[in-house]
Amino acid sequence: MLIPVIYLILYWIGAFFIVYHLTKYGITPWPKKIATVFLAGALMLSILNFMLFTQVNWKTIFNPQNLQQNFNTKTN
Amino acid sequence: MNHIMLKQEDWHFEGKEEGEEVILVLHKHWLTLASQATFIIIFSILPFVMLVVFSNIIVTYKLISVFSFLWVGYYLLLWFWLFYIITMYTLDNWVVTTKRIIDSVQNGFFNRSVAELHLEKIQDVSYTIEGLMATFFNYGLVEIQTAGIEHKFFFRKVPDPQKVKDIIMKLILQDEDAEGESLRDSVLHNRVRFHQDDNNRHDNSTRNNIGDTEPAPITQPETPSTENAGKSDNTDYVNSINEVADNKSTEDYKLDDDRREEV
Repeated sequence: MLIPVIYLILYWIGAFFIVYHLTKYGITPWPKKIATVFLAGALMLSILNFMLFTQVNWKTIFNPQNLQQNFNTKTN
Repeated sequence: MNHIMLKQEDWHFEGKEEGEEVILVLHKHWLTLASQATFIIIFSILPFVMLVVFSNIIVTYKLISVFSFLWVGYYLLLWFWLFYIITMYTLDNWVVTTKRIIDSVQNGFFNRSVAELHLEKIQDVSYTIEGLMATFFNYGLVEIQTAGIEHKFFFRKVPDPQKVKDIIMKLILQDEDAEGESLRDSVLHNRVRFHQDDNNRHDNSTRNNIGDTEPAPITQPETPSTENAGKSDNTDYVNSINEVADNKSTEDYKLDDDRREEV
């Protein structure tokens, strides 16, 4: 549970640096446009990632018995 | 994205001086960016390969949701990597303005170095296109030679180096013309001021003799003639200064013309 949250926090710190550098040091209008595209894409992927994260049944993943049960139901 | 960005509007950058205009913004040729982006394209195919290889396991153990989550997380990372490369590429640039050339290098988020070179210090600009790819895609090295012991400026892997060289040379010539005009203006200004001072001095001395308290108007200097020659030492001196000023401005223009021809 904690690992994906830390991953997302670290990701957005990195994203902030990209947007900051592009908007501060960019000369032409291009870097600002690039920053906007990056921000939009990162936001969409983050939301999608979070939604998929909530749909995962983590108890099944980290319990070998449940995995075996899944396997048995499938084969039967 | 145009990699030679000619001035279209008033672009701003950190440390821009008053009256300074951006003429050219240069990045490395797009091939350098494409070669790095190729890795990202290869890595983006990887989840599809894994899906094909481990499809049985994923379906059997009902790991589709986990796999989807990891897949999107992986793409999130690739998205970041792609834009990190683009950011470094964009911020690693050369800016040519009406006053100077600025070389900005961005190595990572926390390592940025900026060097600048004023146009009047440039002595020579040359370019080299070397290799098959460089010839085919028209990119190369532009070398800027400076006066004195200052280090050279290199524009590496810039697109259309000949055009870049021409633009810089044109700017240097414009800069020299402007300097020549300002020198001529200053010489003429000093000459007029000298005339005015001389007239004022002459009028004051006359006033003192007569005892007139009214200030006399400043008049234009009379043209030197042979009749007036030898009448006053000041007049001779003014004439000699005028001749020197005229000669100096003419010589300056000759020098500018010579320099232009050499270039």
